[in-house]
Amino acid sequence: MSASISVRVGAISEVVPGIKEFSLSRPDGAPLPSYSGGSHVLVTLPGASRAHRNSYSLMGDPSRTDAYRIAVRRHAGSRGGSRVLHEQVEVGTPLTISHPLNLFPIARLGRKHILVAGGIGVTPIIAQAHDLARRGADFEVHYAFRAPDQAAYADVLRDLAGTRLHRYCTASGERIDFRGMLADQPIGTHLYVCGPVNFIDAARSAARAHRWPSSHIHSEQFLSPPVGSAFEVHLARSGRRIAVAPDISLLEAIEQAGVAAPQSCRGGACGQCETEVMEADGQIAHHDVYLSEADKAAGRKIMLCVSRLQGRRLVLNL
Amino acid sequence: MIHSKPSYVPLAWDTEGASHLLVAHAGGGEALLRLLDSGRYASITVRYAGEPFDNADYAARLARAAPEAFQYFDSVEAMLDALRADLATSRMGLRLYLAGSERFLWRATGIATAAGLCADEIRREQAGSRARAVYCVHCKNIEPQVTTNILTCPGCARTLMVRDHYSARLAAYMGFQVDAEAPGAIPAVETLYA
Repeated sequence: MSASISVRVGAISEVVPGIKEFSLSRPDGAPLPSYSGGSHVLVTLPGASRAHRNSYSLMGDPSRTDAYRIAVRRHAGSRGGSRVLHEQVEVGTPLTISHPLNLFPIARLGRKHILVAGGIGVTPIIAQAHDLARRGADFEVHYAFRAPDQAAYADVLRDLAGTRLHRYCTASGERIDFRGMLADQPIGTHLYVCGPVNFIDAARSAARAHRWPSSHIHSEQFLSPPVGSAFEVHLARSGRRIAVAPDISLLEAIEQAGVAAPQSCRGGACGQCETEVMEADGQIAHHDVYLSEADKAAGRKIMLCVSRLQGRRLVLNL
Repeated sequence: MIHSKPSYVPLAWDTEGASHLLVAHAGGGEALLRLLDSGRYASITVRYAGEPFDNADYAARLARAAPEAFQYFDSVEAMLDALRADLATSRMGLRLYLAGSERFLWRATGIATAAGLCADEIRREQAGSRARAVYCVHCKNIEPQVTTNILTCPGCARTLMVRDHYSARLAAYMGFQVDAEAPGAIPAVETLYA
């Protein structure tokens, strides 16, 4: 894992009700590492009982390295990450972030790019649209939001995509017709979709119905670890037994016990924390979007960051 | 293990495809006949270029196997031009099947990649001689049919050794001067491929 970066919150604005934007810069004003559209950073937030570490997409213009920008929706059922950002973080608050990492890159050899955003899923799409507009690429943006006052950054997308921006207001009964949108596209077309699970599933299955291969279908979603029931994890290689509380993720419990587990995005997307399950006395609740359905059914692998055991005792090859 | 050295498997239909474009050169005609014989899909197009030495008459057999979809070309160049034109108007859902010499497979792959196809939309089967196309890293000449481990470059007269390092972009193996460090020290020439 690459070294972390110390930043300070430079500006905070409420973009639309419930969504705040934070700009992050180095305290000495030195440039941040450059990144490509679709990248995210892992942000470490101070918490009352423990630190929160969540991945957020960088949503600015990737050619600007004086500051990174992230936009965060306040989640009602948040375990803390978005609540800390919305309630406790102020201008000047020091934070630690990881180097940018891109799990959602633009296909360089693509001939046409269809970007699809649902709600706060617009954040990586904005940075991708900046990259594509700068390259003069053939692209279009489809943006679905709940209500007119929830259309965060629609003006930015309008500037980047012009008439190639299509807006869908759910409150007005507008829905994206994924099948129609993806019909009769030229070869070399790529789909990029970010939004809620059902939204991503609908886009992916429409592409599949048009016989698109997986190499042309790109999606990203970071999940927060869901609350579950308590269980105990045994680490076979290090010989540790660790209790996992209901509101603590498996990864967090292992880290709090002083064991360094592999991890990166902490949102079920990147695959770094995949760990071999040696024994489980219950079902594994797979919450990630990384493992294949076959792997999830087999029950021999678990993503530590978001998945847990519905049982009492889990033995890991760790 | 040289990861860049391509490996090939017999062509089989990608049943996920919406349309299927089959392109073969010379002995690759046999792979297309086998594929067409294994089952049929709604939207199939067959493109074939023969060679004067080709006595298996694949053209006539392919024309019989897919009469409504077959087009014959007198040269590989003409067929690759037609492939470029085909791909310019093709829609998502297309799958491309290639059969022929390694050089043909990767020249066609280069055209398909430039048109936007990804690796999972292209299938390849090697046919005919395993002779290698060799790219001279010194003068950039490409010698298409090399059967030996060592050759004299027709472009710059250097004695080249052929490495297993394959460039998919150039559709050739890398050849470099074998006696650059010790002039005149040239290993025995072996014929590796018929």
